[in-house]
Amino acid sequence: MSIIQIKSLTKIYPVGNEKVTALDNISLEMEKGKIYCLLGTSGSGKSTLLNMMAGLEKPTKGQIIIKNSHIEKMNENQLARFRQKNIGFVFQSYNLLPAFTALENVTLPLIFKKIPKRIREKRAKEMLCAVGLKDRIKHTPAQMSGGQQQRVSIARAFVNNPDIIFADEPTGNLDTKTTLEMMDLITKISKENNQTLIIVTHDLEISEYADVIIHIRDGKVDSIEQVNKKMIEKI
Amino acid sequence: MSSIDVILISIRNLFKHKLRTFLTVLGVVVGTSSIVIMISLGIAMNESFAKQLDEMGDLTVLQVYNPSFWGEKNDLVINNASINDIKKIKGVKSATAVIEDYFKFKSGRYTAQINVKGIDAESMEDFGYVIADGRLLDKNDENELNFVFGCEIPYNFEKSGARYYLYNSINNTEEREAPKIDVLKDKIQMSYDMNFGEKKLSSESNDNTKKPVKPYNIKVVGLLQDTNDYNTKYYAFMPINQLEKIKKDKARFEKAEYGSRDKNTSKDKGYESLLVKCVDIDSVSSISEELRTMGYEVYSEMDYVNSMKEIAGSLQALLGAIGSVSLFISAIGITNTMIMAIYERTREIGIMKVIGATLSDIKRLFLLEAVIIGFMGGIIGIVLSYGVSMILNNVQLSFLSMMSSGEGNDISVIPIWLSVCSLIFSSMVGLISGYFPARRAMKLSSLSAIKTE
Repeated sequence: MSIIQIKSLTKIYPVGNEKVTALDNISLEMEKGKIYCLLGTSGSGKSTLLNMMAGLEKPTKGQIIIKNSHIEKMNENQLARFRQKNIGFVFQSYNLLPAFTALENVTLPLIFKKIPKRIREKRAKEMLCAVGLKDRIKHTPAQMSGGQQQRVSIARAFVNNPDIIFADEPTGNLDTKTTLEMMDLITKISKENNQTLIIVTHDLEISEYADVIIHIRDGKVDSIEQVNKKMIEKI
Repeated sequence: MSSIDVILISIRNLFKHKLRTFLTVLGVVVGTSSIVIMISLGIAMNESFAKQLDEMGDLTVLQVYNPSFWGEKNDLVINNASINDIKKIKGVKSATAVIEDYFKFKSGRYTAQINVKGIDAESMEDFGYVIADGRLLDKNDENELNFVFGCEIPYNFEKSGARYYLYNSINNTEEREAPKIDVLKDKIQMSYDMNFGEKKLSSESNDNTKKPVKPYNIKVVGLLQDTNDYNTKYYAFMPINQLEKIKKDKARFEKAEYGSRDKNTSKDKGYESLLVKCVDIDSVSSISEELRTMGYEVYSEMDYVNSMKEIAGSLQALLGAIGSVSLFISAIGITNTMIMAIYERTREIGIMKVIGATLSDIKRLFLLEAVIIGFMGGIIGIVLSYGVSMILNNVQLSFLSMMSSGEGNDISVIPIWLSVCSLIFSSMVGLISGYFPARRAMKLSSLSAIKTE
């Protein structure tokens, strides 16, 4: 049973008098517990697809069904509730709240979810330990390196224990070493919890962490490639 | 998002921008305190006005004059028949003609000059006179020389020949001596001869041609309570028919003494004035209107009260308007601050939305910030107002004390309800001025907010 179903999804942006087709009749299915990579060049429409799955943009046509709910039909409040429950986000630019400490940033999704203070702080601390920031709990984003900030952001994405994690170019701002660390971390946690991880990237190296690589080109699915993990490990 | 978290995060956001928050709050402080002080001036004015009212006569009593009494001839005459007509007007409780005169009273070695009012003995109870000792006049007194004294009258009796002053130490009631005589028990005589009871001056001592005027033996049956009303305090009351008789005697005496002055006095022109007691305050204006159409001149304390109220009302409106302008400006300040905050936090708002904040969470966060600004401004503003109010009351600026008219009264009075109301009001101002920015924050597209770098 697939957790995400996308049926003939189309997105057309009006640019001046012309219409630009960002997504052209895409249909996809994604299964629970697998790691997917949306791979494509910039402008291919991969980020648009992700935004639409997260409900940040409305499709022009088509359906997105996540856990049997039609995302495209939800209003803003329904989407907010849906994200609280089911979705975690990791952004390229971390998107942490600058005035809040690492702990508070990680707690925020739980605050919106009305989790009692004691429980949510315990959970957030566990999560920060899991991403290796045990001694950075009270630091604000400005006091941390890019890698550390992205760790906070990963902790925030996983703190809710959502079924689906969206990662939009999660390592775009990081150096190679940190990139690998981050990818190891993010894939490890999602595998441990049997979560579906969807990574958007243009980086082939990153796509190797995925179980399934979906090549996007000009708003269409170019090809779907099943990755044989064992082969990679051998290399 | 639970309310307590909304509050904590809002306070946090405010403290992040201390200077900006401080300046915005300052605007509300100025607005609130100016409105509170302006209203407090109005309240103080009303209080001193109420005090003045207290010292006035009964508001339900109308003084009715016959304008033709001294003027040209006219059909209008106030006599017993017309009084009975007036009594029939709806809302009139009682009516009586009033005549006044001035007599010399004597009891033992003590004398007093007293204003005497002749009224319908029967009506005394209806007019609401309150007795302190003895009883009021009633129908049976019509044939007697019986009196009811105002509460200040006993103090007027002074040793004959002593320097006379009517308003015997009014202002220090506690310290003054007890009355020299017991008006209810002591024997009292009355005369229209002003020399009655006085030791004859040496220049007059040889003048034996003058026959001494025979005094009236009077009886005081009651003493009125202190009502703060100048129209009763300093008067002695007696049945009107008895006073008329005495006036006739006096006229004869004066005619013999000084010669005839006025040939028309013999002609019956009726009474000059009468008093009309209304059932209640509400009927006063309609009754006075009716009497006016009948041709009488009507004066009531209500006229004065109404004009006072009008002046006080418009003055308060003016003061309130001045205060409102400053509060309005501070409301604009709050709105501006909040809009700035939204521009600044566009990205944060987007992030919060993406990680699960509902629209109402966002709205509440921003609304509450605005309310907190209004609330803090309100509290500080009220504290400031109390300070300014104290200074005003102690310094007593001359132009302000003129407005509040009356000495010893506070210029500015801030009752608890005013502080509570202004606190609620300033918070409301915060709420209203925060509403538009909060909606704006709520409607921000989370996607474009995140993309903002």
